[in-house]
Amino acid sequence: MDGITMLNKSKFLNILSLIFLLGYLNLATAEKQPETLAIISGVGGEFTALNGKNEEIKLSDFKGKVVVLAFGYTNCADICPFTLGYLKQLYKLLSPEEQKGVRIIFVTIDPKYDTPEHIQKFVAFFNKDFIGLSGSQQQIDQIVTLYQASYHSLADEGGQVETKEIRRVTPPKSDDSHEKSSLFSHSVVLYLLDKDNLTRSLEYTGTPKEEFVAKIRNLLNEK
Amino acid sequence: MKNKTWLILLLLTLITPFLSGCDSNKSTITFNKFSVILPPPVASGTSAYGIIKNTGDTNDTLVAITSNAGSVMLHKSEVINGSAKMIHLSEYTFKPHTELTLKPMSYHIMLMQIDHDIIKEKGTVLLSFEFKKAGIINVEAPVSLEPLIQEN
Repeated sequence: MDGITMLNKSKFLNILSLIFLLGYLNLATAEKQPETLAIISGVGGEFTALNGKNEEIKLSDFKGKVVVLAFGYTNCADICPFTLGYLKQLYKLLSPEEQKGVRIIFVTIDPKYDTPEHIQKFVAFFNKDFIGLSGSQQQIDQIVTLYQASYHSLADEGGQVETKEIRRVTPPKSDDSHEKSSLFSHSVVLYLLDKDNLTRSLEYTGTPKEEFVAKIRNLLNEK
Repeated sequence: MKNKTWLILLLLTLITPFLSGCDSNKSTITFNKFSVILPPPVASGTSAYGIIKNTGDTNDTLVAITSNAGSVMLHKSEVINGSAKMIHLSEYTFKPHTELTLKPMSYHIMLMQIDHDIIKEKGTVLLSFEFKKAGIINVEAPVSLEPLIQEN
């Protein structure tokens, strides 16, 4: 009788342990529900611009895709290449299937220098899927205003500094004695837009890439 | 005798600085992990990053930088309220035993109107740094996709 009781007790304890173990495993492996990203109202909106083929496009052309939008210009030697490098690494963290649902868009704030073809070639160096947008000054200013972004020239004349004022040892590339290069300060925010083109998050290159990717996946999974 | 001893000691105290005069003006500048970032083929500029150290016992000021690959400026990027601006620095003073790290979104060397025949994959760029005391120091910086200072 004692032997049977001991056996039953032991069996009971084993079953109990198994139940606890299964429960623990379930909790441990359960995916953390992603937090919902609130719509940031007042930031963003429909705009038109020119793509690398000089075709007019609208933001709504990207409906159904998650968009990461950034501002910059090609004469920017530090921040913009660094930002595009960051976006390149971010994009690589996505699966090929996920990449199909995402668009990385870089809008120039220097449309005089950055023609549609030029800005597209610039961003394509970082990833051939990246989209460079230019347009008229009016179009660019409208996009900047919609996203509450900003840009300012760092020189007196329209954002350009004469390169002859800069110490140089190599001969100028052109015969223009007033050869210039553009310098601007500009917003460095990375705007995360959902599939309805609504702004859902403002990020920076300081955002850990895994965290940024989780937010992109969150939006990709939204119905 | 006592007075003579004190006189000798005083004279020694007075002339010692002159005996080591050259050393007190000496500056020792070192460069570490310098690289020039490979830009898109259509870009007119790029940046160089690295670490400059003053390992000496005296201040020294960087007064000019030149390169065989383009025009050069020393800049500092600052991000304030989500907007980045660049500050041009005409010179930079290194205090004794201090270093300056040039890295993205911070201090950097900006090269403009660059020569893509020099700044190319596996290329090397000559950067010449002129200091008030240390004089001209040449650094051969490799062209890289990422800043070398980010490597461990």
